[in-house]
Amino acid sequence: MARIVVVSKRIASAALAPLVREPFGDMVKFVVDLDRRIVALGGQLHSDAEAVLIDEGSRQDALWGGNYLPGLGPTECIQYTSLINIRPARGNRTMSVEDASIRERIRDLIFALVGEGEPIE
Amino acid sequence: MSQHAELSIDRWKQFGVDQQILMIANEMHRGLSAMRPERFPSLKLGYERVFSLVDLTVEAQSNRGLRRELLRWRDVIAELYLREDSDRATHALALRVLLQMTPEAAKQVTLLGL
Repeated sequence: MARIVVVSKRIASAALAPLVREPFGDMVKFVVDLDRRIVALGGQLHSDAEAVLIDEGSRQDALWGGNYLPGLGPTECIQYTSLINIRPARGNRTMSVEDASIRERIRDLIFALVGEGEPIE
Repeated sequence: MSQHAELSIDRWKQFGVDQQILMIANEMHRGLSAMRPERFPSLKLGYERVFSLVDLTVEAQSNRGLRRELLRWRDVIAELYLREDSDRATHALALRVLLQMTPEAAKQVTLLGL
């Protein structure tokens, strides 16, 4: 199973690179916990990263999934899309994070802990 | 309003895991009768109820392996939910897989002809 790491501080570029390289080559899947301000990075399925965070005490309704693509700059490096985001009970009926304020919080957390779309060295 | 709108995590925890799985399966089984195009809105509402019950079960369960399998299974339901038509074969297979998550629920597979 692809490696999943949980970060609460900015991840070094050298640590991020292998997570991007495998398994997708140009992106890494992420699941954020907006309450605890931590991010699970890696894995083939967002649901696996979601499970890791729940194992570590996260509440499911604080979790949102997406993809981070280094090298695309701050406006295009984050895709707010994941099957785990489908939460009709919370009013989110698509894979995309529909609430702009939640997308903003996700962006701020990814920028702080992962990157702002700069290339990986 | 969903019939499960008032179902709390405390109430859900009073059920054993077998019962939790079987109640999710009940929603899925009901969905098998909503496969015709004119009933697709009902099918989607059923999937919404399934999401709610799965999420309650994930929250209630301390078994990490079961949680992981349920969350992966939830992805399959999410893909069914996003479709613009029904997929009876995948839905039935998902129901079978769900029932096989516990030995007690698995007894229903043969009884339901899955």
